[in-house]
Amino acid sequence: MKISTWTPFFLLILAVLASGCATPSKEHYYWGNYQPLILAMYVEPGSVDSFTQIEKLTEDLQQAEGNGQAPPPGLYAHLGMMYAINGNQSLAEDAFQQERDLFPEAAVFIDGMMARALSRNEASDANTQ
Amino acid sequence: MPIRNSLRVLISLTVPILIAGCVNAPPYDYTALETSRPRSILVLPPVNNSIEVNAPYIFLAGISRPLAEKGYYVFPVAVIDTFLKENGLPTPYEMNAIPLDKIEEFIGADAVLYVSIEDWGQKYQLVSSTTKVHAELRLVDVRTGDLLWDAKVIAVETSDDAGMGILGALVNAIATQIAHSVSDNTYRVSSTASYLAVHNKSNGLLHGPYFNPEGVQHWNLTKSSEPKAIDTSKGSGL
Repeated sequence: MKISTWTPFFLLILAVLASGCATPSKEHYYWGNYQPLILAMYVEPGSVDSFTQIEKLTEDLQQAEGNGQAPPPGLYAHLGMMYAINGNQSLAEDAFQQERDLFPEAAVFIDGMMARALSRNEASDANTQ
Repeated sequence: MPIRNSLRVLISLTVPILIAGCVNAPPYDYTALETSRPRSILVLPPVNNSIEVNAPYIFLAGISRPLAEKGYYVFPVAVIDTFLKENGLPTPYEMNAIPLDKIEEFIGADAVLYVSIEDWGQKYQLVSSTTKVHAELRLVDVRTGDLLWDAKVIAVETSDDAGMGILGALVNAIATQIAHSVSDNTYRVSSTASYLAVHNKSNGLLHGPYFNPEGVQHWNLTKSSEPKAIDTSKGSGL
């Protein structure tokens, strides 16, 4: 089989194009539905309700685990917000806690949010009594 | 979809990258970024200077991935947006005016990415359509207010009729316009362009604390038959 003399040059060009410039070649996180859900939330309001989002994000978490990839920063917090919208406070707290455990950088924000939610709940409990 | 496939897409995006990314440019001054070494980035919803109302949030939806893959903790963009709206800041305009000490106190971010959308949209002509995105990025240290990094995200993509005749092209243009009437091509173009700006070797962002040089080849992972253990030796060198 005769290999064209141009083949090495062609491969070289390919290699330069693939490695020389900034291309997203390797990824650490499993991105799945996280970003498309955010897009849909804002561009087509109402197209993805909290239940749909929880379902999609939970699928992503399973897929990430199956792949041996980490869930991306923000995914657990976003999931927590969806649980909170549904009024599922304990699952919301679990998800926020996961975000904080994976990424300690989120601590100030998550702790503050949870503390404010707690004081709101206490206030509303006090009002109903 | 056969209609879309029949359109030959000429990505003029690659040309500016080849010019800007690979040819020797004056080295970017990373002194401030190296001094600050932020671990986390808060991306505020962009200020809009274009006429496309959805542009800020289309851009916002695609910005977490490039920054996180560069190794930074990226605050959850929609959670942050909701939080700020609930706290009396209804639009990106007010959000972009939050004093840095408040950001440090309530969000605890090391750096803030301010984004302004300068031009955005898709134009349909008889035989082609053009997608344009142009955003300007400024990364600022929350404690000092110093500018750590800046970049322009600019891309123009033209889809062109390749010898289909004017009627076929017109039908295609209309079909494409309907198919993409909501989110159109700008999401794909802007997220790709953001990735390229953040990961650019000559003036992109430096690696953050979570950067994984042993990261996996993402195209291998779309197949469900892939073994659980990830082989990073495969395909790492062309």
